[in-house]
Amino acid sequence: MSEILSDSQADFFSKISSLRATGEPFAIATVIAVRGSASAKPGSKALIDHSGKNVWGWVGGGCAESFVARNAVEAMDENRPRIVQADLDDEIFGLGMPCGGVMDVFIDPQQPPEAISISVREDLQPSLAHLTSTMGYAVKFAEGESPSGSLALAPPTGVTSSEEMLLAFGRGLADSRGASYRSLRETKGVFGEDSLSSQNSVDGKSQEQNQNEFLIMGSSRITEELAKFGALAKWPVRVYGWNLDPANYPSNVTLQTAAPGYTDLTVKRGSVVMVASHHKGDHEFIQAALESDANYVGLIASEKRSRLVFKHLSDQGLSDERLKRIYAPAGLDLECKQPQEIALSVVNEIILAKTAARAN
Amino acid sequence: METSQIDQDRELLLQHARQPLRSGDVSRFEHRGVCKNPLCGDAVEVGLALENGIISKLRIQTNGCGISIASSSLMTELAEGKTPDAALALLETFNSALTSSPKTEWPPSLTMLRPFSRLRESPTRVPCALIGWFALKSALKS
Repeated sequence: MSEILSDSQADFFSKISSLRATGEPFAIATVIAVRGSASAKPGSKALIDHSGKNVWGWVGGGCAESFVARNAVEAMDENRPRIVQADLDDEIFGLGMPCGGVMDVFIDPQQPPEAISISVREDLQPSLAHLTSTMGYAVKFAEGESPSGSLALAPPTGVTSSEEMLLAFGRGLADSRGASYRSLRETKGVFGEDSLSSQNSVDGKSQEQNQNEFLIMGSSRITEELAKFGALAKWPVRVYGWNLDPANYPSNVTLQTAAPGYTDLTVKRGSVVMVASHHKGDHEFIQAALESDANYVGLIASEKRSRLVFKHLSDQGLSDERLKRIYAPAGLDLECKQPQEIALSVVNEIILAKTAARAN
Repeated sequence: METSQIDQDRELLLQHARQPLRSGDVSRFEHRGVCKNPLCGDAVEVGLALENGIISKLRIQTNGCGISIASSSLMTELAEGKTPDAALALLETFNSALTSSPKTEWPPSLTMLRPFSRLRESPTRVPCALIGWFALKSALKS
């Protein structure tokens, strides 16, 4: 007996790969809900090229197809995903197809990688290769340079440290997307004051103390990326969390599994602390960081969750003065979509805060 | 029971979509024009005769959705008997009206096309309503 296997999934990913290779935008359309009758079903997918042509799959025919194609082209132009509702019931004022249903379609535009130019000193070029690979960027070699050799991107000028390289990459990413590169804390308006520099001058801490460990609290794809960037910046990094898989972290990063009740949590004075625990232990972690006199305390959270944490801590008796030291929501506006981008935006803010503290 | 305005509008457009006015052979006309929507494949061809500077006779051949056929049908009703300039002015007014805010008042000169005002809330269907009109424009320029 012959066995016939569907290979449509493999075909889907192979088509995405070939569309990526064209260097042109395209969109993935996925039916996410159907109410009533429609020919496509939840999970049905189509790939639409930059001209609006359906080049793979199917999310319905006739006017439904052209409706999705038109929206896909607009989503590619705006570079923003959208959910559209196809009225397949009203022959006249719907999409002209009286199938008897309504279909929701998620359209996800895919852009070719943005080009970012960074000049780095020769000894930093392996680090740049590591960074570009982490961020999902490909390095373009200048004419005459061999991909098999070192990453000779530019003359030995420009960026001269790993921290500067991370800043250059962050700023380049923001510029390529038209993002403001401003602190999310200022943009969202949770707290507007820069605390690190003033705190530093009040406490009279030395620059060495600013170099204390980068303590990341939590366990997620974001903590993994934060640890990679911390290691790249040559900071001593410790991750305090749960389900920490050493395979996902650089070998020179210390991993500490949290004890029940966080009874083993210690924070060194002068540390840079980033709470990225997705609300598990937020309050305990921030309280411990503030009590230990960390130099920088950041919280990766939405504006709403930040406010909830602040309210809780305020109810616990923490003064506004202490709460104002917390960078929340942490990070700079880079129009982040991926965990590595969120991590880069946070690390950029930390470096800028450190630089400001040193200047004072 | 009294039918709602939207039901009346839908019914009117459905009648035109199912039995479009002046549907027929366009090949014998000197002035002919076609408009196609490459995204959906809809196409309308218009043939017309001009006498003494007036559009004296119009025929359309359509394949498309209900809106594109109904709009083409009503286009023939409005354009026949008008000068080319007056017909093209109607197209401009209709185009502007369809792309205006749904809160904007519908132009009095387009009373017969008022059912299409609902498309202002479904902008992806606006090209469907204009395809016959652009075929008319193409025919007048031929």
